Amino acid sequence: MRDQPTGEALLDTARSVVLDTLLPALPAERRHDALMVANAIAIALRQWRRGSAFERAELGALTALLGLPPADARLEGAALQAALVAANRHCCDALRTGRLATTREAWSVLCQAVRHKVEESNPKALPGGARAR
Amino acid sequence: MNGATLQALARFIAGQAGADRVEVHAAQRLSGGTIQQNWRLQLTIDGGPLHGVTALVVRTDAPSGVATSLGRAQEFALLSAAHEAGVAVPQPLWLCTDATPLGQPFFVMRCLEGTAAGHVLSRDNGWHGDRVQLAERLGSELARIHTIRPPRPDLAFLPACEGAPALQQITRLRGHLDALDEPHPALEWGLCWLERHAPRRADIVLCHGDFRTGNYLVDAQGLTGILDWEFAHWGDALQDIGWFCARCWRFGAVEREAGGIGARDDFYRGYERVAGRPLAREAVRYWEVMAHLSWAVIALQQARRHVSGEEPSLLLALTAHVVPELEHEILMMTEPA
Repeated sequence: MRDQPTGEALLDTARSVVLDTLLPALPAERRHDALMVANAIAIALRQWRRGSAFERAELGALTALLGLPPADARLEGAALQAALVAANRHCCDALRTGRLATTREAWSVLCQAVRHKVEESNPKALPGGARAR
Repeated sequence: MNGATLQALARFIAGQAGADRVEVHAAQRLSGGTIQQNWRLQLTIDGGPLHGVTALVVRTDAPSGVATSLGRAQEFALLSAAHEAGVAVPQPLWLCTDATPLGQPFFVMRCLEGTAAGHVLSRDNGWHGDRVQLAERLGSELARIHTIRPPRPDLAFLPACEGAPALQQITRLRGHLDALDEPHPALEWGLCWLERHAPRRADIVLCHGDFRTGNYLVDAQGLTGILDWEFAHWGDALQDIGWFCARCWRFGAVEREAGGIGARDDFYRGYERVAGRPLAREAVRYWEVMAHLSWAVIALQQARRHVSGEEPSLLLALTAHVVPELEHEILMMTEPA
């Protein structure tokens, strides 16, 4: 059993110190560094909190789209990452060679995967879910 | 820069400027840029044509090179060509390709005042100048850049543009992605779309290659100069226009479609006035998709420098996390009917 506060809460607290205590006290030329540290912690926390459920969903969607054998739903860690890389590579090859048609179905699978990444890396880039183009 | 370097720079400048005496008091690293370094020199020049000048800029290399950026000698030649064509650029003065005084090539240019900070210019309260005039002026300057056409013996180092520029760029981007050897299906999707919709070869012009907010200087009155010519190449004029108007380069001010600083119509009007012909406005969107693809590949290359251990840097590491929103925009712009 880990004692409180655990890693996630520690990072949350550390980010608050960077933004609320350090940033106002830093000279102007160091402010950007502090903002980058806070941003990096925020990304790491979002990734930690989301876990790997969406990665399993991405793997399932890709294998179905590409007509590959279904992936083991119990994959996790390095094995899940390796399977995802392989499926994404397969998808890239299929698009490049034309074996995968650029259908709405394919577009939707890619959109879903990319949207999850944006939600982790920069959720502000997805305002309100509805986009003006 | 240390004292010995400043003294060596002073001797170089004195020799080039035909001055009786040059003293370099300080060198201040200017902000911005992971690819090159700019140093503002505070100096005293006695005698010669530059007598009384108190500030010059030295431009040299930083470690974070990108595979396709030009060297300093080539950038100097470009700046000289642009200056001659009447483009608002810092006047290039002298190029040095010797090992001394800096240990790597550099050039010296006049110092222009102003800010290039995109996140300042794009904010409502960041800059209070005339945005209509700024957008028009930027359009005019870009059109002036595009008056530089091949062949140019002084720019012979630029690869010739054979065939359709769009297809050439797609081939380049695929090559860079293959070299990175990591899968990005959204980028492959975008490249497929670009290939299917590639425009034919149009008039070939000098493209700035990175004409966007963040790469020009503005003071309270307006534009003072266009910077950062290391990605210049022969190509389709619309590539520069698409880059400038691309959503990814609006610094969050997405409603200001011209570089995050003004209206697209104002920018186009300024361009068309100098070009003397209307822009193919409906064709610009294609090049905005291309802009997102190109920036995504550059961002991946930058991130790879950190991930590989070649240049550990939080800035480069965070650059990787720009790619998802670029992929998202590419997909949104290429939604199947």
